[in-house]
Amino acid sequence: MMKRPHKPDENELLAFLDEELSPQRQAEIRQQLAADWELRANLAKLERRVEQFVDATAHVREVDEPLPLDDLWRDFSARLEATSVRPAWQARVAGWWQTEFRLRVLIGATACLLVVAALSFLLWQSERPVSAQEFLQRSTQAEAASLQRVGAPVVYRKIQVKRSGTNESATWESWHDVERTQFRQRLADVKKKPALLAEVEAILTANQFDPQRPLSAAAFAAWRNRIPRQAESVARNNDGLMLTTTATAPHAVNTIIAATLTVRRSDWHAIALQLQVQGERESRSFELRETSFEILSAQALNDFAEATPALSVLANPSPSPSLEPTASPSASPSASTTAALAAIASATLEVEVLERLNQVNALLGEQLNVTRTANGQLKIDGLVETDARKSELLRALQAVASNPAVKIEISTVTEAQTRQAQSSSPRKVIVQDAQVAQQAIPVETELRNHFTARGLTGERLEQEIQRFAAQVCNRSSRARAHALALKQIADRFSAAQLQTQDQATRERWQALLHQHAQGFRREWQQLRQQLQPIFPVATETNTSTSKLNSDEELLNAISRLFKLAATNDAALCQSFSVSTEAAAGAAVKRAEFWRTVSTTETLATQIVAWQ
Amino acid sequence: MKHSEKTTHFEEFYRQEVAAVYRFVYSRVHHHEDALEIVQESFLTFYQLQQRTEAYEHERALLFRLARNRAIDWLRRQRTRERVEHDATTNVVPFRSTAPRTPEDLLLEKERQHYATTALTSLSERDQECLALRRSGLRYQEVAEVLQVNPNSVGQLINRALRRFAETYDALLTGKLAGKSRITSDDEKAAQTRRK
Repeated sequence: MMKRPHKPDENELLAFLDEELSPQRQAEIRQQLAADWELRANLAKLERRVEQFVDATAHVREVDEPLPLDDLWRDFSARLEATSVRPAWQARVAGWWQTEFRLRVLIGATACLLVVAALSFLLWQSERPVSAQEFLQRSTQAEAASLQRVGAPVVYRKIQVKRSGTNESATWESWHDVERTQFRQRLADVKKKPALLAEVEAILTANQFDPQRPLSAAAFAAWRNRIPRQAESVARNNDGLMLTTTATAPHAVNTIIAATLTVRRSDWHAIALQLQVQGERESRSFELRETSFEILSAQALNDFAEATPALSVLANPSPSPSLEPTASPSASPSASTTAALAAIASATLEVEVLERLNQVNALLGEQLNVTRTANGQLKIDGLVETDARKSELLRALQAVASNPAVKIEISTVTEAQTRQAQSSSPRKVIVQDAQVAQQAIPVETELRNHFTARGLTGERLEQEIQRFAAQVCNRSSRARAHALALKQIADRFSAAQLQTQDQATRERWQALLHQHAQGFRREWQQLRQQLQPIFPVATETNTSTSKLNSDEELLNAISRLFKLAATNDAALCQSFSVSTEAAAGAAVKRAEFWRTVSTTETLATQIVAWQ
Repeated sequence: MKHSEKTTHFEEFYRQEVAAVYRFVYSRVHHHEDALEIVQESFLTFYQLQQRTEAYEHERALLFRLARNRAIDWLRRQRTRERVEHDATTNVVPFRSTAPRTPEDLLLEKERQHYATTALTSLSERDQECLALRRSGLRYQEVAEVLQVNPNSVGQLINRALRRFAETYDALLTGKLAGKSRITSDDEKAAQTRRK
């Protein structure tokens, strides 16, 4: 009996596709493929994988223009000539270095030396112990040294306060004028002090831990020196060095049981404080983490305050260390750079800008970008068709235009062209004529039958077909524009940023999303109603009733909706536009198309239902 | 072979291979001018080696190996791989296209390109090289010579790299990893640059 050839695995199938096997094995597999559907399916899967890789990574390899072979060859010949006139001894040296073995030995020896050096350094680092006393001393010294570098320093700090094990958090900014002992603070985007901050403030005060400067080695040392210590340790982690001090029991309510101060290894700057506090029944934990820090000059701040009347940073000393917000939450100096001192746009301001743009329909596909600059300003830039539209947009943004945290750069096409003409030489424009080979709409037969049954004939019938096709395309584009607006609004914040938004800002942001999700649903409902009498398949739906459970899911749903909406719009418009494609290929006649539409409708419903 | 014949033969070889070598090098360094420089220098070394030795069994493999070594040197000189990823993400050469495209199309295309770059850079160096060499038209034997691996393992290496790419890319497209790889906003990019 003849031995049956073994079934090829995936690796061998790929080698078969690449014709890398022996002729005999190639022939065997070809025969097996003819008889085995499963094998053919596996082969097709591999081919799809190769195709996907080639398509997806085309941008990494493709170049706009073909390589100028003649120029390259000329350049190469010139190099060759230059090399050939090189003195013989140079060529010999070059040849020696190119000898692979010697090169390998050299690289290997260098690598070994580097590894030994790195290991020695790590060993030296890890073996060097740091005592708690030295830890606090070095951090305090580093703090003092950094303050001495700036005349009349003002320490700006932004701290995120978080209750461990929950999502509850708040952001707190403070300015501390060291020489004049003035203190000013602000809570991000809220007018009322959150309960979390009040609780942390009460704990710090009760434990005589400086509530104005909780992230400070000096404050930590002062607290540490006052308590009976049970244990103390210094450890390393990814953040840096951590000093943990544990107080001796028993612990009264609101007493700090243990505190951990984290400093950066590079400069001993305090960046985080973790507190474990005794509660009524069980202990509670809090984390204060620095998200921004800068030492500013008081003079620079005052100059800025004078130039911006709405702002009065450090104008009034605040003797009480209470965590009360200042009166003007929208106007604050940025601590990102002393020189620029530009204001940072708050989330509330960002949502307000989106609302104002939305009011004048600027989120529905207009060439406008809302971005954040590196120093936290909100930049609105874009290109509009006419002066009238530019004026309309500027009017809509008038209320926020004077805010230092907002930068508006809107130009008309004419203005942009003028700028371009001044800055660059004119480019050669090649105009190509396009010709449509066949004047037919893929669904023309269906439309013709539908309108003929309604008694239309001749010129009127043709006009009605064209009007109907244009109407469908317009409505589909409007739905797509709503999906684009949804994505633009959603992309402004990450899931983590949404967690830190206050309720009012969040509601306004959600209202914008709801408006466009409803708009999207409305357009597709009307499209279905319009198309169902002609294409019965338009009743096709998916039965999905799942709901969104987190901000991350909401953002993913919007992203998916946008992608599907773009695909659906392209497919629908292709079905109703003049094309050379066969009528049978029209997506609108396929059940899968309507199921994808149904998926987008479900996503829109989920977005509307999300609270 | 006479000198003039040798030169003509070499010119033919050069014209035939230069685009493939360029694409391979570009896929590693993501920088047009530097890729061209590496290609020219590789051909130069290849020519000089040819002058000293009569013939090599696998000329293309040798050429690609020279180009690969130079690309590795270049990457090492860049010190951090992050810069390459950044360039690959932000300075991708656009598709050739004559059709006017809507902002949504451009956004979608940009997103797909970003996902493809992310999926590609998530592969190991070896996997990336395997795919780039195979895509440049090298046979398994030649790939094995360039990478100095067992020729019998090349098929497996390529298949595994393809599968890994497809898994990551599909996951990104379907949004499973969307949270991890969203196209960063301007301020995030600025923060990344500052960190570097």
